[in-house]
Formats: sequence, C-alpha cells, structure tokens
Amino acid sequence: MISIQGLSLALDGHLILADVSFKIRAKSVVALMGPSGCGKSTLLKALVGVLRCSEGHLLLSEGKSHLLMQWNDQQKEFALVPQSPLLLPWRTVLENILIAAPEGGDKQQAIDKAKELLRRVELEGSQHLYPWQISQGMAARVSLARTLMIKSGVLLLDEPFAAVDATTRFKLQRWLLELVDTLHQTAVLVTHDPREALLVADEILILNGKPARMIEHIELPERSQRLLTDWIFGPSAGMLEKKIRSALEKV
Amino acid sequence: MKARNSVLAKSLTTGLFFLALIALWLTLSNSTAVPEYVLPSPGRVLTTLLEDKSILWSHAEETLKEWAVGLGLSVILALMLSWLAFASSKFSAFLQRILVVSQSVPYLTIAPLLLLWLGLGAAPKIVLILLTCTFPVAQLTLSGLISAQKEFAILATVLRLEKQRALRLIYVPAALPDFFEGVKISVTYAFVSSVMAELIGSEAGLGVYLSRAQSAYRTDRVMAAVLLIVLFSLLCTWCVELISKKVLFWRINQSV
Repeated sequence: MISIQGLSLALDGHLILADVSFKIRAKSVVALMGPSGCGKSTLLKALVGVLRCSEGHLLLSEGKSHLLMQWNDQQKEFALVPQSPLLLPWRTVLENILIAAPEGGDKQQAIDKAKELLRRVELEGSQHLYPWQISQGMAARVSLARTLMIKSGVLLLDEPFAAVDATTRFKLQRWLLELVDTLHQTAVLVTHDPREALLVADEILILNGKPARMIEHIELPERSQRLLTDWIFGPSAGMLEKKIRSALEKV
Repeated sequence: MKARNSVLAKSLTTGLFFLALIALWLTLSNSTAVPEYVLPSPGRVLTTLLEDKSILWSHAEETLKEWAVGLGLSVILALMLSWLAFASSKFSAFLQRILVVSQSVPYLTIAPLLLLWLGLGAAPKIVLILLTCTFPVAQLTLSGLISAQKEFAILATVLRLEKQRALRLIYVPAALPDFFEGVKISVTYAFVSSVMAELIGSEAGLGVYLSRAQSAYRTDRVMAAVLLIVLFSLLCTWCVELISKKVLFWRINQSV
C-alpha cells in the first residue's frame, strides 16, 4: 500500500492540484479519470518527479514518509509510460528499450531482459526495426516495454494508447491488463471511458474541479468475479457508470 | 516513385539552367562585340586551367590548408561553446547576446587588422575563418540541443538518466541535424574568408593568384581561379552533405 497525502502543485502561479490524497493498494489497477485538462497527466508527472510539488507526503507501506516536494530516490517508486511514445528515431526498437538499462550494468543481462520484455509486448520480431517503420500501436508498446525496464513499485500509464484508433486501443488495453496481471504490477491508468474503467480497474479515482481534487473514489467488486458473471452488463454496473459520468460532468 | 521522379525533374532543370549559362557564355565570347580580355571563351579558360595547373595547385594547396585547419578548429570551438552554453544557463545567455551582436559584424573588414597583427602567412586567414564560421555552427548546435531537451526532457526524467547520460544518448544525437546545417553553411563561409583575406594580403593562396591575374588584366586566369574555388566549395559542400546523409539516415527515412 502506498498513500499520497495532501499533494498540491502549482504551475506558473496557478494552483492545478489542491490537497489531493489517495491510496494505491499493492497489485491493484487504479483507473484515474477526470475531464480533459483537469490535471490527470500533471498528477502522474508530479509523482514521477517531472514536475515539482509544492506540498504533499508520500507514505510507503513500510511506514516511511517522504516529502513529495523534493525530487528524491523515493519518487523512483513510480515509473511513467508517457502519453506520446517519444521513441528515438536513430535507435532500433531494441536499442530504444536498452536506453532504460542502468549504466554500468551487465550488458548481456540488459539485452536479455529487453528481449524478454519485447516478447511480452508481442514485438519480438520487430526488435531491429526503426521507429518510423512501425505503427503507432507498436510504438506505444515499445514505450511500455521501455518503462518496464526500470524497477518500480507502481506503473503509471498516461493514456499510452491515446494515439491509436478505438478498436485497437480497446484491444491493447485488455492486453495491457493481462500483462500487468502476469507481472503482478501495481498500475495507475488514466482513461476517458467509464465502461473501460469498470471493466479493467479494481478501483476508480475521479479528479475534478479547478484546482483539481479527488472528488470520487469507487471500489469495484473482485475483477475475476466481474469477468465471470457478466457483471458489466448488470444493473449495478449501470448505476456506477451513471455515478462516474455525473462526477465527470460536475463543474 | 513519385518522389524519385520529382528529384529527377529537379536535377534536370538545374542541369538545363547551367547548360544555358554556358551557351550564353559561348555566344557572348564568340561575338565580336565582347573583346577577349573582358570575356574569354570557355575553351580559353580551360586551357589556362591546364597550363597553370602546377602553379594553381600550389596556391590551392595553401588555401585548402587554411580552409581545413580553420574549419576544423571552428567546429571544435563551436562544439565546446555550445556544450558549455548547454551546461550553464548563465553562459548560454551571455553567448546568445554575443552571437546576436557577432552576426552584424562584417568580419572581412577586420582582415587588414589581422594581417597587420599576424603577418602574411596562414595565421590571419585561420583566425578570420574562426571568426566567421564558429558562430553559425555554435548557434545552430546550441538551438538543436535546447529544442531536443524541450522535446525529450520528460523521457530523461522518466528513465532516470543522469544529465551527462541524457546528453550523450538523447540530446547530442537529436541535435546532429542542426550541427550539420551549421557545418554546411560554414564550408562556404570558410572559403570566402580565406580567399578574401588572401586577396587583401598574402604570400600564397588562390587569392594571391587571383589578385595578380586581375592586376595583369588576365581575365582568363581570374576566371580559371574563380572556377576552381567554386568547384572546391561545391565539392566540399557535397562531401558534408554525403556524410550528414549517412549519419542522419533516420531523418531522411522518417520524413518519407
């Protein structure tokens, strides 16, 4: 269990996130939702240390508490898959993943790990291709594999499949969750689609307002139960979807 | 296929343009209205080129030496400056100001001073090349580094790359296209600088040959030297183009 307490963040003097607090259970998948531009990406960037928080604490399960204000080793608890893949065009798929390998480590070991990750994202045949030779969906998967190269407690996914079409995106997201499951990885996934969140997440957090706060926290039934019993088509799922939509539309 | 056709069409029009120029030259030089000492025929210029082969080459050697040393030093200095500016924002601000001012300085006017201070050898030419060529390379490389950092800084943080490692793995390769742009500009600048400095005063070099031919009213020799300089400049630009295409293979493919 990781908990974030009282995270606030201002950009250019404007308060974007105000007193945001939430918990992430180990090995769970959290869907982070909110209207466009409310600060979801900003929150992920703050957690990973790209943006600096003005206030806030990070509590880790061992009872350690850290100030979120400074960039420190504890923020390495999080690893981000950014919204755009940002692959380096002069490096092949495999080399793009290897850029995340720690410096001075065992080279062969890094290559083996990268290849294993490529197999996991179903791109083992594309390791020698260059970024301009692959599709956007493939690029998103390379970006994911690259982030998985670094050790982290929580994987943060900032709509990594936003650039691909809806059908492919849905497929990729289902596939992603299977991957997260098999890796026993805790994950926070930003998504726009309430049904998707209901289908894949263990809990849903909704961010809204200016500055943004956590306005809703929804616990979902056990995922395996939901998948087995067609829960998603039932009345309780419908009620939850309504609740999510109204929370998203709140001004 | 379409792209290849348009490339072909482009080189065809360029070729036709130069053929037309040569045709015009031929007609003008053959007509009695233009005397030979004003415009010698292309054949005459070619013969002069061949006749003066060894003397031209000895002068060209001097100019090429100045060009190579000057450009090489400029590139090294430019890389050092842009690296320093990238590392320190204070130095960057200072350098930007200097670069803006430096671009409005007509360096050729300093050449007489340089000749007074450094003599008639290669030194003043090399210094002049340094003055004219360092700044374009430095400025373009620096702006390449800065825009690469804007684009990829988030990646460097997310992947926990230290600054030096991010520079080596991401920013430097990403800035290479801009660096080559700067070098391409400087290749020609360097020729202009060395020849002009030689014209003003020198012991050897194509500029010396040029000024001697000019004062003797040997238009054929002047044209032969000009032709040679243009040829060298084109050849060197083409070489840089070739190298940059090899190094930046990803850029050409990316845009297709």
